[in-house]
Amino acid sequence: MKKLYVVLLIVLLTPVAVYAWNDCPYGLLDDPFPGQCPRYLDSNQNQVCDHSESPSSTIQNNSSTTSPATNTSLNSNLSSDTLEANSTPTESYNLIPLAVTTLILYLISYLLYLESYLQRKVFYTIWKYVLLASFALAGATGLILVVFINYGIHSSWNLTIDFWHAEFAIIMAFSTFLHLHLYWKQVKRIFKK
Amino acid sequence: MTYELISVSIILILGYLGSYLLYQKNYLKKATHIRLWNILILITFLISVVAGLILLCLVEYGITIPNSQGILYWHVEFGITMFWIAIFHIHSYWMSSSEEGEDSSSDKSGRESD
Repeated sequence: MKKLYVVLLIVLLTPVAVYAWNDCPYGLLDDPFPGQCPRYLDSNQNQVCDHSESPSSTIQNNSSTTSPATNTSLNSNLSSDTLEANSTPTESYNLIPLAVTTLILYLISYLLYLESYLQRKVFYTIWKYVLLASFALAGATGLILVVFINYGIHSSWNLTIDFWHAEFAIIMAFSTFLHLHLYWKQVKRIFKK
Repeated sequence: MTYELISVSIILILGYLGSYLLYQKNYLKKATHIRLWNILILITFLISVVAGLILLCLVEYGITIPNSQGILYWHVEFGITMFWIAIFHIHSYWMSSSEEGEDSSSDKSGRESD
């Protein structure tokens, strides 16, 4: 059984390291309008996200259908697109720092509770509100992103909202695990007959 | 490709209202009603979070895996589902804590209700 878990972990975690042609962080290929994520960028207006376009295939398509005169201008246009797409900064979502900070703060409050410096009710309430606030912010930003994507709304705010959605979602996810720890008895009761 | 926001939301709201009405009319035990939505929130949370963490790792480390498009799609769909069920979860426990507060307003033991 252990071997099965190990194999499953290897399958899930081993990066089938296929570095794509493009620089789409989600590895999407030829993502059509309005795109599946808030990073959608279509500077050459071909209704396909620049980040998901394969430079080589686009060059081939263009060269086979256009005359040499227009080809030069298209190629320069394409290279500027590719340049723009490649220059998109890779963001760091601070996964480890946020997770560790949340965990440390939880452990400190737990220690204070164990040492009776903090009432049980206060301790529970603090973490209930941390979870509630992070859920409200992650949920609201997530819904805004879905609406933006569904209706093809592209603004300079998309990436910022995406960033804060990820940040609040990280805090929410870890707060939920702590919430499960706090209410572990009740969680176990759910699965009892 | 667009995400199913409206249809998923309507189905979930109707589902919760149905289960809440059944509980109010005593066709369903309160424990069963709460257990059902607790199991659903746990499942949707786990799927959404695992998918979200995979996507975060893809972005942070520039890794590409097959079917990342599918992971993004299901992260969003389960995220929408979890959003609504979390609101139902808050509603359920808000109601039960206010009921308990009314019942045991003299209880000063500070014991946390579930």
